[in-house]
Amino acid sequence: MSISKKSRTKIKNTGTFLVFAGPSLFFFVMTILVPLVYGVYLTFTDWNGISREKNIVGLENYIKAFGDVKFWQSLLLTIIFTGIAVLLVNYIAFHLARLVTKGVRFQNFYRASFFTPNLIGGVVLGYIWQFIFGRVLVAFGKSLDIGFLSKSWLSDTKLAMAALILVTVWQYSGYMMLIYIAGLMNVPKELLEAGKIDGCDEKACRKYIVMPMMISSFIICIFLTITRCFMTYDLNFSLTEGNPFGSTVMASMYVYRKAFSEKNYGLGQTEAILLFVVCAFVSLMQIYFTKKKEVQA
Amino acid sequence: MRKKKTYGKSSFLLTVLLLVYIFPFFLVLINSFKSKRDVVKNPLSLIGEEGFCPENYLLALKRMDFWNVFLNSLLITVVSVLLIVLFSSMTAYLFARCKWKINKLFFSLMILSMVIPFQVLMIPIVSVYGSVLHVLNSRLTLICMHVGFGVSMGTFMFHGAIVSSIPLELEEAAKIDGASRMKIYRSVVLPLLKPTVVTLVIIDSLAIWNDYLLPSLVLVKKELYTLPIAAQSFHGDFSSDYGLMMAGMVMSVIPILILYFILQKHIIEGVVAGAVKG
Amino acid sequence: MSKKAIALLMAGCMVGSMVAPAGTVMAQESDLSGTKITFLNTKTEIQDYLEDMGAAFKEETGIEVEFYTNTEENHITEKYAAGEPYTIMMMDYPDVADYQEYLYDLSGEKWIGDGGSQYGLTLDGKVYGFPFVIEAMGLIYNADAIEKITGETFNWEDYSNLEAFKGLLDKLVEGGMESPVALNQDDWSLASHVFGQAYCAREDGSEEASLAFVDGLKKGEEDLANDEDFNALMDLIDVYMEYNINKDDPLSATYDMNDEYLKEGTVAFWPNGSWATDVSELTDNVGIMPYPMDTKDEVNAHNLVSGATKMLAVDAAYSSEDEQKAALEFLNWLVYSDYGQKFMVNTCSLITAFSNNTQEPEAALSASVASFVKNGSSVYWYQAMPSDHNTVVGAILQKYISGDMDRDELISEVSDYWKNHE
Repeated sequence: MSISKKSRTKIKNTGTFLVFAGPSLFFFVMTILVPLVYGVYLTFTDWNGISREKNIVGLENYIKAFGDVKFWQSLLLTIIFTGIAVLLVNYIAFHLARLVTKGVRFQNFYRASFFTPNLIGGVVLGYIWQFIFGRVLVAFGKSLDIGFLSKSWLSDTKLAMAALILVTVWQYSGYMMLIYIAGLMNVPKELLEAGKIDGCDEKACRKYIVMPMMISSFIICIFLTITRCFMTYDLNFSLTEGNPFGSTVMASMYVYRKAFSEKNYGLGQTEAILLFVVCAFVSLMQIYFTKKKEVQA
Repeated sequence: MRKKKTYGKSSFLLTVLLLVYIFPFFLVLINSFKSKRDVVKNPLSLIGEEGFCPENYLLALKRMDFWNVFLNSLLITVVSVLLIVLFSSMTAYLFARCKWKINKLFFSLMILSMVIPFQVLMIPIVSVYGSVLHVLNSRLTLICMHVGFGVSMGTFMFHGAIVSSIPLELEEAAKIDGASRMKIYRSVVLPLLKPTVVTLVIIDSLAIWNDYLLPSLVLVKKELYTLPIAAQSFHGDFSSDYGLMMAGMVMSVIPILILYFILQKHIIEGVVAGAVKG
Repeated sequence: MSKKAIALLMAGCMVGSMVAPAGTVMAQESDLSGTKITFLNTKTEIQDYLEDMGAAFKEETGIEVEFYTNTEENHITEKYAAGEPYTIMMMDYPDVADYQEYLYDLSGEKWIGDGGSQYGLTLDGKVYGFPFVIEAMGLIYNADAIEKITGETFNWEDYSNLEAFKGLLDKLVEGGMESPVALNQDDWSLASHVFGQAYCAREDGSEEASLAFVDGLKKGEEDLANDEDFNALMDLIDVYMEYNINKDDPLSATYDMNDEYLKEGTVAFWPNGSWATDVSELTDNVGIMPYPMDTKDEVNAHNLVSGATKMLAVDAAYSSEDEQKAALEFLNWLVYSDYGQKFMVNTCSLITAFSNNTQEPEAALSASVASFVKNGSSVYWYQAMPSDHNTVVGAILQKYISGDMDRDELISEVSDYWKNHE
């Protein structure tokens, strides 16, 4: 008797699974997992990306990738970039979200404005910011005699990285702000009212009520910023193109060049997989540690 | 009194930030009305030396085959986003409430997949779907792929929202009333997810509307082009046609801005919904 | 044969001769009519003209050509991975070799005899690339700007050695032009167009001399520090740097601003190439000259570095036989039809590789290049650099022009780069 009941539950559960998760998993598997398997297979070949000929070379690409100093340098650069950018983006995004949910006048207009950076992409993004760094800030710096502004940031190795971080913060903070707004909206008003009655001031309310309720938003935003910063390609390409002297070539750009410009697809693909592994490790650690703080509603 | 003062300070801070944030967009806007030479020479001037150039817009319209391309983008974005929101909220609901092994497995895979550099999948996608299955060059294929790429983040976001802000008791109550899982999802869970739905709609619409890489891989025929691929025609080997490019960009982002303003209202309505549910 | 058939035949001939304009040779197999082929164009600036030409071609032959434009590096790679390449692809010189196994052997085409064998791209004795355009790299000058200060007609031949050139620059500075040279900072421009001269302007400027030099670099046998031709170029680069309008911050230069400086006469010289056709937007008194440097055999005193840069290749792997035939017919039409000839030279201001084309380009810069090409005053253009040349050597050059590296360091780094590509 119990067996048939068990199997009935099993059938029911399978049905539930297929209805609720079936459609998304089908598309997910077909678009990502299937090509991924093929993509991993290619890391074991010496394919140049073009030819009909591919030979299996075993682990050779992995050995080469581990010995490719420039790849690891670009990865280190990416990690530093990501670390700084993630902190700044989330700090600013959260506070923007707070400011525009307080009920200030025109707050809808503010929200929309902070979101506009996301509307500019590709070559135009690079062009506009090259102009700002190369000419607007320089003119400003020269007229006020500010040393670090009197030369273009893009022609100095360290400042060019700073420029990349700045534009990243500009672009993603408005985006993450959206997610934080949604999170703040999900904090039940009654809880805050109750907190106030219990004698919490604004700061205490934020610390004891809002922040714990916001954990899931933080997880999502930090996760998204980490992955996006790790994968930065478009901005890197359009703003600095890796210059000056190739000092701002980050990991994505490096593997892309390896695979396509240098026609070494097998190695480029292998390094991209390694990039994936490192990034996955970092972001999963983040989720693991923050999830611990999550509260159930 | 105190309240007023903080608002004043916030407003001031917000205004300064606002100027910083919209300055680049403002530059795009004014330069979209200039000839290429004026864009290069003096991007800051409101009107170029060679005069006000609204014909950039007409030229861009023609060069991009704008209306046709616009409809393609619209169709692809709307259908993809609807499917992503629907599929991923259902999946997230299942994953959040049923701790089965297979759910955990797929949830982890989905999270991991968001970290895959697109470059890893680029050539495999065209090889599998072009050389083997011959299904490239279709809007439907592109929509399916957008859904495939989008459900992970959708599931992830809905999962977070369900776990942290939908009280289990509400569902229990509905269950006792005899509602099926589907019914609970439709009448209890989905309405409470409204702020997240709206956020995801904005984020995904923006991503899909502006996506260049995936469509450029899938759509080869001109008549299927989306806006970002069509805008590619302004890029040159050494230099680009900036005035036209910016005009094209302004026209492309207007729909997203409109969408944003419409949906914004609903984010605020989310507050009310959230207040009622407690 | 029935009368009806003869009448039909005659009518056919008449229609045929009416449609085909004078000078058209290709009015043959009409069975290709209705065939549709695709064409990848990477010269975005001529896209509109191409489309007009396609319409004219369709009217004559019934073959439809669809023109696509995309300048992304890996675009062709993706299309081959998808099994859907374009029928005709405009490729850069080094790309043709990468795709050789997929390409149609064009050696048997008629145009081979009219310049195709000289300028086309030959691999293993077979021609795979149709030379679409001849380009040149050198020093672009704005003669108006120079003449305004010197008061005399500018004749570049008077300044074809370093001393004379430097003298002129000083005179310009004295006359009020603060910095007469605009130097690019983009890695591709520095590596392949400025430093690229080092691989070309050697000894007699022949292909053999150039290939032998690069070969020597790869084997580590060239002593660059004591190489007269190499030092001649470096001396000139030093002069460019000294008179550079972007001297304060050489790496902040932008291509478009430099273009603007030359166009307006803010500077008189811009090291670049014949593709910068819009410099004649304000005055026709512009031109291109060889680098004014003191090479051993003075090869560049008279000869400009030029060669076919954009190749048209026909896909043989995925296109149907009809499509391939149509593509060949299109290439022929480009060379031999009236429309095709005028299109290349007059409409697009391109310099054609084909000797049967008697049109003269009107755009000033193109006319200037054409005068060299017509006289055979050319230095071989070495274009087969390794694919990472622009990024690696470009970075070295950026360090050099920003003063972070001296000539000895540059020599050692460049030598190391080439040794790694043995």
